[in-house]
Amino acid sequence: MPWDIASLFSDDAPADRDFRAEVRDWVADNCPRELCHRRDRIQPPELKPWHRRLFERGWIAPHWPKEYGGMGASLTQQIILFEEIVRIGAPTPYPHGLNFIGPIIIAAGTEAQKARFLPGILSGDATWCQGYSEAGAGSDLASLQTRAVLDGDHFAVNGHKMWTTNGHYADWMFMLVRTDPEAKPRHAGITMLLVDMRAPGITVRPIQTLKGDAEFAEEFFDDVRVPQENMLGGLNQGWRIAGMVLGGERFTTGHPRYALVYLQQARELAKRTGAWDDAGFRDRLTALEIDLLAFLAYYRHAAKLHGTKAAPLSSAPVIKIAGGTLAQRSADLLVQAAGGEGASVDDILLASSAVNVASELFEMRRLSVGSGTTEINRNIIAKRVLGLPDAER
Amino acid sequence: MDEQLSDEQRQLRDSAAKLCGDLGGAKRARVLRDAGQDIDAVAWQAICDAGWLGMLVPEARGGLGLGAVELYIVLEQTGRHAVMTPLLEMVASAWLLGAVDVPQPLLPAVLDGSPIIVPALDADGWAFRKASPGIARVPAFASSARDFLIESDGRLGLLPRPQATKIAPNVDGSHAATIAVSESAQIIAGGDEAARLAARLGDLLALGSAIELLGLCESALALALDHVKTRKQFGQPLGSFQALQHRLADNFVDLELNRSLLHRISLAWDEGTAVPAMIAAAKARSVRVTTEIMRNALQLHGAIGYTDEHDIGMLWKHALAQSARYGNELTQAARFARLTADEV
Repeated sequence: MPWDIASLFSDDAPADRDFRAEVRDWVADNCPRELCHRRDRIQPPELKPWHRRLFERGWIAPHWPKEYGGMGASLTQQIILFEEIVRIGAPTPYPHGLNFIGPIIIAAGTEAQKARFLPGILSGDATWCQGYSEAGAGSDLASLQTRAVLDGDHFAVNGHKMWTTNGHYADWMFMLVRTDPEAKPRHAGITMLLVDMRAPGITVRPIQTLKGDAEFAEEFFDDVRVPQENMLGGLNQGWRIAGMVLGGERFTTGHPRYALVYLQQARELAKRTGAWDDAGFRDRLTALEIDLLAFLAYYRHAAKLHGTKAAPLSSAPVIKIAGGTLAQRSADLLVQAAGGEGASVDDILLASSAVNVASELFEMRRLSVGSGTTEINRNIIAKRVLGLPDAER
Repeated sequence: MDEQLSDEQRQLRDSAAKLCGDLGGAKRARVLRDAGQDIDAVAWQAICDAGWLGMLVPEARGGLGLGAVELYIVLEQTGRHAVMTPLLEMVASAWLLGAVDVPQPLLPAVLDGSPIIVPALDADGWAFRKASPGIARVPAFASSARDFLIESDGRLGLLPRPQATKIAPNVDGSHAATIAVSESAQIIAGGDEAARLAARLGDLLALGSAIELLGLCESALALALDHVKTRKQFGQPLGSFQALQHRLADNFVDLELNRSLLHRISLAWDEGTAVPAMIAAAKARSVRVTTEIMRNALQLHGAIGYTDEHDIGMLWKHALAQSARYGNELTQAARFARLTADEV
């Protein structure tokens, strides 16, 4: 592509451009080089010093209000920070504390909970994980069965959580538990608890992913005692509380960067392997680059509208479906560009980077599964945007 | 897109929606086709009266001095209602006549809607496959045009429609023709100016036809949604079946991306930052998505969709004609590939 992703279709105002330049210089001077362009998963302990540096600079939580230690920044500034960090191949801080539970604590927590939990999230001293999914509760999350029973001033928690990113590194888990098994609808019987992962009765077991790293864990809860003061929001209010997660998150997870990087790497790699001379390769590359351009226009448009009255309900599922599909197909093409090396465990060295094509191929599968599958997002568009009916029973 | 419009742009959209909604529509297009007319004279008069033809002509030369965003607003509506008039072609011709160094005495008449001048393009640099030398393709309105805007030997000129022009109807009732580029053209630009303007003209037509396709797709998707919400089989509305819901959701996603892309490029055109590769991408993707949406919309209609009587087929036919002119999907995709080939 003949365009710089950061400037194409940009909405940067002059002040934003200054901010971008400032961030770019600072990141270049401050990001540990050994963390850049890594193809293995950087686990939380190794990421902490980088997290801390961003925290000390005041840039760790651009989307949080200033009174809680954030920047109170516009979405544009949030995206600028993100883009300038990933531009040099640096990792972004894990989102579970900063983006998921932090904003929920700010919105729904007690003053004591805010004072206790927010500082550790900002500084990176506390690693958080999200305890939502279970073996039997994935897309149908409201069917979750991990049980919490109030016993005096503690909940007794019993059950099993799965697919927990960083579960084996986390100090704290925010979890959804069933507190009313009879509730109709089922999501009216769910409560949010903040759980100390060192509490007695918790057993954590890592799960190796398709990509080959230990990103996930599963956790077994056996009569785990959770103080009532660690309930977030009210009893049986967990579903509503969980819905308070800020929508801005989609603009980092859904950023077009994966497709952009893969398609550039595919061009370079194809010229070396000879795939470039195949009309079929070129056709597919062209189609994906055209899709990338369209997605980028959509992404910028949605970011501009985010938080305004005009922001459409559809932008989250559209970003999820279009961005995820595009990134996956770009990774697929990267494998094609590698020719006979497409299944190699080893990295392939390019002029300015190295790429592990099979690893990228598998990593991208997460985009259509995690945080709501593509199919669930299609359901959302069909029913809430297009107004298509449910089956009559 | 609507949320980004100014008050004036909103008014333009509303008046365009009313005019096109009142006068256009698939049924009207079918009547015109059956009558062998390649222009809707009633709608054309209303459009000329509205003054839209001077949209891209500077005020100093008698135009409205508006931009591509306003063109987007109007063409989305003409597309949505399949209005059979040479609005895009005349806006483009007027823009060209207003952009050449030597002011054209013909311009005021063109801004009033008569004579009709239709671009007829064939050479390299116009985004289309190179045809035989000396031959030009008129994609539509070949019966209504008095002159054709042609490029020959690196010059731009106006060629009076030859008496013997043989009309080749398109499936939507529009009239195409293949003409010989003769010496009798009146030259309006040459040299670097001609090359620069010709390239811009080709981009403008490609962008405009892509916007009309966006409107057509919106109508086709709306027809399909209406149908599946009301039509029942197996005791259920068709729209309750998840297999069909997901196809419609994918259509919606594809169209949302095109809407943003076309609006962005229109903004870029007005800022002077639009580049040819963007427009090639936009037209290629618009045709690709149109094909997919029309195919799905027709399929969802079942047997009634396979009749001449139903509007969905007429929309597809008009979309097919809009897709074929000014560079179809693969032509524009190949152009995009050429324009971006040297980038790593």
